[in-house]
Amino acid sequence: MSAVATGMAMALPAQARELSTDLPAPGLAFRIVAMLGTAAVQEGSDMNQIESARARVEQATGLHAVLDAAYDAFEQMLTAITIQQDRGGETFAAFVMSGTAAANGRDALAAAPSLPRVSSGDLAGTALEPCGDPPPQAAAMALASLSQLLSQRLTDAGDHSADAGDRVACIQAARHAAYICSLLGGTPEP
Amino acid sequence: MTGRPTFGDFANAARGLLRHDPGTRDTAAGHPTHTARAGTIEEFTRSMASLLAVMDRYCADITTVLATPARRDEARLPGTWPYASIQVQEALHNAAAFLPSASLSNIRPGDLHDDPAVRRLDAVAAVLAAGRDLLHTHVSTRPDGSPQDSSEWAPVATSEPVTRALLLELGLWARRTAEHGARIALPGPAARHGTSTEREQLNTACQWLWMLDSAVRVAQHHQPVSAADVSLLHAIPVNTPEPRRIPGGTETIIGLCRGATSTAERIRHAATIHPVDPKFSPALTTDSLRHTATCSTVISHNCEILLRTLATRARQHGSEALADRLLGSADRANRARLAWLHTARAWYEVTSDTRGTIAPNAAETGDLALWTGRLAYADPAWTPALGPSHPTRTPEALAPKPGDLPTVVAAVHQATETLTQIASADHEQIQAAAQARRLLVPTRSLPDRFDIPHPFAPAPPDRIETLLVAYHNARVASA
Repeated sequence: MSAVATGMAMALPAQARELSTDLPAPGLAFRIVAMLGTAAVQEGSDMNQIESARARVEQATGLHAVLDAAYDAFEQMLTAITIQQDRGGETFAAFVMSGTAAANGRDALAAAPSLPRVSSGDLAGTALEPCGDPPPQAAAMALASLSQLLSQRLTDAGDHSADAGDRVACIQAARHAAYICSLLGGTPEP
Repeated sequence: MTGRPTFGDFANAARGLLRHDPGTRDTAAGHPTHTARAGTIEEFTRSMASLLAVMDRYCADITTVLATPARRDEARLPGTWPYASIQVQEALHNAAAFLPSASLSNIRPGDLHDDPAVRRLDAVAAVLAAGRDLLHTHVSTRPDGSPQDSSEWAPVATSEPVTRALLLELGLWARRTAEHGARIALPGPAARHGTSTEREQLNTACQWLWMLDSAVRVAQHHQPVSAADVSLLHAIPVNTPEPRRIPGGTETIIGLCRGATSTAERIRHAATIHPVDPKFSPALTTDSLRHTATCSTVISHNCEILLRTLATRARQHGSEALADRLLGSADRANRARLAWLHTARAWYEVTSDTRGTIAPNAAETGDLALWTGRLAYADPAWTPALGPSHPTRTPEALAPKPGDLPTVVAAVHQATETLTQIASADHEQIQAAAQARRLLVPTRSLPDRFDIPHPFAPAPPDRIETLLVAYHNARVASA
């Protein structure tokens, strides 16, 4: 995972740091974290990367921005999922399958003609921070929530895209996001 | 375990047919009783010639293994069984020389002769031909004519011990055929119509078949074929996978073990028979390879759970030594799980030039993950997805009786053997795909200094190396 994170960090331009510093709109993930109580909120600080990614995806406007944010979101999900895989246990299978779906979703977006060649997000800084170890159920809920949002935004973006390559990329990536959502206990949008 | 036809089915059918007294009613041939009409000697000898032609083909297969020209050159004096195989071949040719040409037989497949004795010999010839065809499903021919293993049973089917067992079987068939023939050749008031020359020739042919039997018996006396080798010969199944099966949620433990076994065999069969050309084939997709690595991780996780549960059950039955061995196997399954997890993760950083589809063969590793998961977990509808809870099956539920342990262990063995083969096959394919520059990475994952105006770039050597090492480790850990 280090190569993914490092590669992304090196690819980040310094000028595009403003987007994810905005306060994210209160979404499902925040309601979930609130429900988990004080302890989970403390550990939830380790899920900042997922929340940042979620905020970027929510606030992204226009095809380029959606693709850019979604690509980085899949990368962030991969990092978070990898941490959960190391726990083993009864959630192991779901996180292993989710990791592959996240990589597939990211690669589907990589083929989109409108994807900016360089990330405009500010995730590089957070990606290099020491990753925490949130409880599997909390992590699963946050990731399911993000993947549900990804699926919605990418489906919408694909529907409004004029380029066939972008449409295919969005549809495929949305499908992978929906699969992650179903694996991690969420309910993907039809 | 899987219900596929085996060579033993055909060998035993032939034995049964030949054991049957030709003077009694015809039920052994599997046909309704016909109005018996004693045929002529000539009709019998034609059928016998057809049967000997089938035996001759067996003999050619046997000498190919036991007495190749190279081996004859190596040893001035052939060994016991190679010598027997040469004698058998000569005896068969000599016997056939006293019978009409097999090609002159006017019996076509599906024809039923009125004479029960003739009908029986025809049935034996058909059964033995089918048995030989079954053995040949395990070996194919390369474009240059050389043989090529087509299944994991091929080394067994062409091994010397099993070939010796086949020669022993051939001796038995010949002996019983000779007994029938000699009885038919006898003159007398109730004898069949035929000239004295025909009777003499049939009798001489039978004498050669007894010579054949004697050669085999001498070899068996000096170097006995073990019962285990005969059993192994009889256990060789037809090299055709069962239809794809997906668990329905109502299977018993035995049913789940059967499903896991047949799915594991299908995956191994596909890997042997239909390897894609990694340099060009569009069937080699990132999604397929990632899916396979991911499911292999889940399968090894399930196998670890199963082995630990079985160890607990063995301890409950007082089998401490077995429990310890099962725990050792569980630890190895855990190492395989970690190795496969690294393989799945190595794929996070590499992709290929073909994406978006999962090949049918790769999809079946998902089936095996389901079968093993439903064995390991209590939920009959288990899937890898998160649910309210995933309790594992209790030891009592997994193996109620001590005799149930081997069934589950066998299914786990089938699964782990499949993982070993997958790791080996995919390692080869990825190596070839890398040489063909089919392995890529998203350009965004590369440092800024790489100015590549395409969404994907050739995978850096270190990432390919990581991937290949991961597969190598997965193969070693799964073995």
